[in-house]
Amino acid sequence: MHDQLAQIGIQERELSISHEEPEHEEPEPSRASRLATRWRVLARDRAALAGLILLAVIALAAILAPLVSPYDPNAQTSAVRFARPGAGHLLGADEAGRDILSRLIWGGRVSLFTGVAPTLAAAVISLLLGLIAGYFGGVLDQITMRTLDIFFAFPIVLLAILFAGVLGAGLRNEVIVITVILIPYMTRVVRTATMSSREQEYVEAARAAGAADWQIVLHEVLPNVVSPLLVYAAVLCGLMILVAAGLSFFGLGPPPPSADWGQMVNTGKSVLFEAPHVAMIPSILIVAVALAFNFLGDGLRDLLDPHTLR
Amino acid sequence: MSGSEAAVGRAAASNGSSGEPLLSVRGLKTYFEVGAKRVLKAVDGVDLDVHRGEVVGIVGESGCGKSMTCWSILRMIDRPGRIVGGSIRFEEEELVTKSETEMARLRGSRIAMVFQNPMTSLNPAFTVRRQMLDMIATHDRVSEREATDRAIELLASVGLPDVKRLLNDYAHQLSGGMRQRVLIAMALSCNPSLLIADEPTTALDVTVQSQILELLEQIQQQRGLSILIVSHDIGVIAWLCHKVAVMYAGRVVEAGPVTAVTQSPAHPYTQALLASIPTPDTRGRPLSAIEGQPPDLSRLPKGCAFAPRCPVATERSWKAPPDLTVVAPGHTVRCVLYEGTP
Amino acid sequence: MSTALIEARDLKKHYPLSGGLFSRSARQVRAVDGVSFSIEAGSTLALVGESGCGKSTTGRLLLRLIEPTSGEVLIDGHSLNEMAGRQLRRARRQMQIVFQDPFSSLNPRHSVGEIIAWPMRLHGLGNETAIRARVRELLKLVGLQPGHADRHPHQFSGGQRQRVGIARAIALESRFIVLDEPTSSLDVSVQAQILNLLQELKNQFGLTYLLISHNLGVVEYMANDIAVMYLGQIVEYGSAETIMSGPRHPYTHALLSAVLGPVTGERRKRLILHGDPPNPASPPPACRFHTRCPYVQDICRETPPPLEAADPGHLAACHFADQIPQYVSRGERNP
Repeated sequence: MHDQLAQIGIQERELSISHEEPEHEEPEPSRASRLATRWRVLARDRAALAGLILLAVIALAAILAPLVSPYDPNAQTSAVRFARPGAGHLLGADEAGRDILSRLIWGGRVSLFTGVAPTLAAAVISLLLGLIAGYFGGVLDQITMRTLDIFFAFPIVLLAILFAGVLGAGLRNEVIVITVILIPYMTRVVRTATMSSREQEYVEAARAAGAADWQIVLHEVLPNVVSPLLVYAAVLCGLMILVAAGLSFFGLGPPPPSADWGQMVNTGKSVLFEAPHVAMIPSILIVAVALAFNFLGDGLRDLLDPHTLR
Repeated sequence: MSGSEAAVGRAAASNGSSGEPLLSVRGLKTYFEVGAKRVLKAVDGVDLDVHRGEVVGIVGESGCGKSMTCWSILRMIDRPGRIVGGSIRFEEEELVTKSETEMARLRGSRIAMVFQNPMTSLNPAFTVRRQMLDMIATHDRVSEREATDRAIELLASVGLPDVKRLLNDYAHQLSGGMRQRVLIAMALSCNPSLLIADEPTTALDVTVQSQILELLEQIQQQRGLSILIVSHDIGVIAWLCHKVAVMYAGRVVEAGPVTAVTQSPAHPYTQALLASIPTPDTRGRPLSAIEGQPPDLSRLPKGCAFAPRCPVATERSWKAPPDLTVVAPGHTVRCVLYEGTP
Repeated sequence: MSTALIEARDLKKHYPLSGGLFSRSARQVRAVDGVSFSIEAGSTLALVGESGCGKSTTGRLLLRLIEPTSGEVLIDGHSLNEMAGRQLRRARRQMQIVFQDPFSSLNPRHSVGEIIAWPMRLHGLGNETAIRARVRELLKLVGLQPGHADRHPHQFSGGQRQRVGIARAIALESRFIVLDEPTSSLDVSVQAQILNLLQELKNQFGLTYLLISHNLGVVEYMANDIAVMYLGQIVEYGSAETIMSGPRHPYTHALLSAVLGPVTGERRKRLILHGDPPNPASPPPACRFHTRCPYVQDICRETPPPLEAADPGHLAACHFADQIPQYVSRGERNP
């Protein structure tokens, strides 16, 4: 039964070309026009586009923090303690009378960094591990995967707290901790994609053509691994911002008074009933950014699927 | 079964084919609405008759609508597909308007089916016994004991050895040929009057394919069953069937007795299809391939769907779909070349 | 001295049956078990048999895509299995493969142009401009448009993809090509296009083919010689004409009678075997075919029949090879 659509689907794809096939030679699509196609695909995906815009705005604000933040994030004005969002302070002020908007903008530097940097670092390491384990298999694969299995036995946050406890607080350690806990998950994704790609006949064709293993990995396998990894990484970025916030919440992040979102929630929780906005606003932002990364990840998946390239 | 006996069997079958057919399909249309304003006409006005005791084949290339026609007859079309027109009369009842419950009761009892892939058609989690008994219990109220006896008898009748042990086997313990035999036994469990077989031998090795074809012929003759069989392999159809319908782009382009269609094909597509099969005689010469690709089912040409690839297409071919023409008794063709001939 | 381009000498490939990390299993699958043949330059040898008979494994052994357990492959009289490094890469240029599955054999992430160009780049055949020109020429040669180079595999039909695979295989101007079921996933009308193309290329470039197929119709059309395989061994070997008209092994006879002609007139008494091919992990002893052979005698269960000449140039591994033609001619094939 399920083949019905597949039959039609395959047919649709197979037939589309014969129809567009004029006798004369067509102009070849330029690189620019292919980029334009990709952009159109992304623009059609409203959620991904919204995610992208939100992340772009936050990243830009964080980079330009000295220019755009209305106040010094650490300036304490006791007169405006617990100020509600309003004219003077757009998003209000916290228990020390610091401007929440400014702290969010400056805190974005830390929070985005702790989400993105470890994910990128872990992606590079995982790519290496996963490609080797998945492509060569055997003992190498067994050792890698059994080691990673130990990590899978623990919940991600527990691991983070464990490591952070051992290494101590601070931004650098936080990045290291998150990198380490990401590696098993990303390696598994790379390994699975590698193994399914190396089973394909195009790998055999490459070997028949005289390609060495490293050439096959780079030319045939890697392109099929990068896109699932990228999609996964985007989703993980969001998750890691949550984890980083959690670490800060437990006091394992960068030490105060440097602003980061998790810490803002942490300090706000003691006044949750008197001044709910102090904890709520950064919480909402954390969730929004995590969601934005998720949507972007979904959008990337469609974007990177070769079938969307026409 | 020798060739001459088989020929007698065929003759008897075609003699007994007077009166209302067991299955009569008229103007069947099954469309798939994919995306906005894009309709794939998978089956586009198919006529088909299967008389009692007759084996009818549908032959054509992938995407021609042959499997969709079967699924439509069983009313097993999934969204976004839909039967949009035509009638399917089976044992003098209209199937198109039947409720889903009535259809469910009909499927497996009066119409049975065998599908292409024997690997996935059996449930890997249950034994052969469980699946046989379930099948029997769905349609007949019999005791477990009786059902088991019937299962054993059925499995033995499809040429399976050591049936009692086999009942306790799981699908993965059986070879492809054995699985297909089990599936045929299951299909026969409720004494259907029509068996629909969709590429029943395609997934099998050639020597096993021969066995299954012989089995189908044997049960057809023993039980006086009617079979509607779909295949891309005209050799299979020629071997097993009394009548054949050749499909192209959702339409039946030629239909008639197997010998007539294979020995004197009328439609240019049938001719081309037959000519593209490599045979000892074509050795050393280029095969006559059909150039180009089948048409996009959502953008069918206004006239004959084969016109763009047809070596003898005329202006008339492009204008409107060709009418059905009778070229010999029981042998019909849809091609402008024959229009207006008596 | 014959002009054998490729020669297989007693090739064996045994796979251990894996039992997981902590178990060592002594059982093994003898996928290919002592296969020898030679292919003359410019001719086509067909390897015929059912699934699991080892024909695809043999094809891959010939290209040294997998290492044999024992035996060797000679190309131009030199042992492929002793080569390494530069010499092996040079030898690889001489031999290519076309796969059965036009979907898995083309990397979905690359354009068709990239797919065809890469082997040439690997071997440093000219600069980018020259390679791009050659890609366009190859596309034209296999019946596609030069403008298709920028498209991705999913934009093509099965037959068109198979043409791309053929273009890749001839890009290095190889002399020997393994065709692994090149048309079994295609419709007959498209199959005819591809078979024609393969024959044209063969004539144009003097190619040598090893055709792996289960379809005797295709084999009869394409091959000069035929080797019939059953459970890892060759059971019959000879020229296409002799084998098709007078098989000396009952298995070949059964395969031949499984070919269904499109015209009902040639319906004939057929030799139909019982059961499925046995599991290659535990092949029957002595003659491996004895469990399904209609003419089986005691000797078949006790002594393996050697592959020896039934007629000059026509080998068969059957104790009763001399009597098979009588069975066949008793109206069992050809009226």
